[in-house]
Amino acid sequence: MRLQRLFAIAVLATLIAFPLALFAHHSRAHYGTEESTTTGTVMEYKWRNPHVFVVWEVKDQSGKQTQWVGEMASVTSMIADGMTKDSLKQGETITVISFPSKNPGSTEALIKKITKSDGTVVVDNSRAPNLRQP
Amino acid sequence: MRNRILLSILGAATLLFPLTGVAQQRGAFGRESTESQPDKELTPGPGWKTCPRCTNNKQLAAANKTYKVEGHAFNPHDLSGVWGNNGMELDVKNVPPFTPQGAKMFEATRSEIPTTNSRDGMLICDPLGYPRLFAYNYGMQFVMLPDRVLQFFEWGHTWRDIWTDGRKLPDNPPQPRWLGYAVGHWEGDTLVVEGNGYDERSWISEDRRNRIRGFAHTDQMRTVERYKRTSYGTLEAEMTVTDPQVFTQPWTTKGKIELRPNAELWEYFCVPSESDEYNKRLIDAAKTSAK
Repeated sequence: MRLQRLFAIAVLATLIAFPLALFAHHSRAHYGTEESTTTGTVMEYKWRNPHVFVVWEVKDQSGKQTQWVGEMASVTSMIADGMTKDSLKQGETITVISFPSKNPGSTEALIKKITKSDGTVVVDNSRAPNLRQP
Repeated sequence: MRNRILLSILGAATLLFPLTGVAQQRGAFGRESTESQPDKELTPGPGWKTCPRCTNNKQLAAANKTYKVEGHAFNPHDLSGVWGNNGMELDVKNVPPFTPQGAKMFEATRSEIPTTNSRDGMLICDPLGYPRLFAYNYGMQFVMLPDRVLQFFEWGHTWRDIWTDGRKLPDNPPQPRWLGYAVGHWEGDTLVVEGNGYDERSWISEDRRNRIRGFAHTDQMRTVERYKRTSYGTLEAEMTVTDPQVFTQPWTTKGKIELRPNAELWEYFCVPSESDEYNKRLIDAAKTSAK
């Protein structure tokens, strides 16, 4: 009986560990699985390697302002997805769908979709089927 | 009791499997089809070409038609062209057993955090070295010269000389190199490239199974590559890594690399100041969350 219990624990531990290993795939384990949608103002747009990122400021109902840092991929990967160095400008209003970091209080996120206030879609990985990192 | 155990296992698997699926659906930048991908590739202007990694799948399919890749005539001894956009990943399902020393070296590369490899020299812009540049390069180009084949890589915008003038590999190279020493010869229609003299600071590859370790090697590592152009648009490639101090057997990876007819190499430099800013603003946040 004791052996059976040990076996069950070992199998369960393997099952638990395996998906966690996949979460860690390609350096994105710290991003959660819950989507977040926020609207704010572009503060910085870094068209740089190793990963392009955007900083946008969101004001909540109490007036508190929070700056989010949204990560994408390398410059050339983002070109394949339709972005350019001119895709975003400081001061523009954008709506961002992202996967925020799981770290409580953190303001980093993995970008899924960015839309401008006129409806222009800047980038949209909604159809992307698997997790990749450059 | 046995039923309870089975039920527990099934329950855990049911709960955990969907989470894996969700995790894999995020962040396929520049790879698979996405809603915002343009039909037309971006180039610097008329007469210029796009870059290997700038090309999405539908643009590549269109380029293959435009450049009449299928059925195109080719010389099997001319490997010229831009090949692939990410290198040929080493076969981690086929890693040979480690020697005791190899096991220690592999474990010593283990990251301090689970989210990325904190010990990876790439984070601080160390050269990737070889054969890591074979496995990860953002696009590779062969240029055929009478006495050598030049192998260019977009990552690092650097090149490797493969000498075909009859010289032999040095027995005891005076200086280990990140890209080692390489000589090539033809066996029928296959270019065989032998390499040695590699700097121990590089990795053979990161371990892409979970990216928390890297495959280390000693200065005794040797590589043998075999390249065969089987059509205008296809390069069959094979990489064998031998390091008796690390592995009990050779490690061989076989695969195919596609021509990128619409591309020329742009530049990807790992710029220390850029990496430093990225590490501070995004990687360090991951370190915090991992603790």
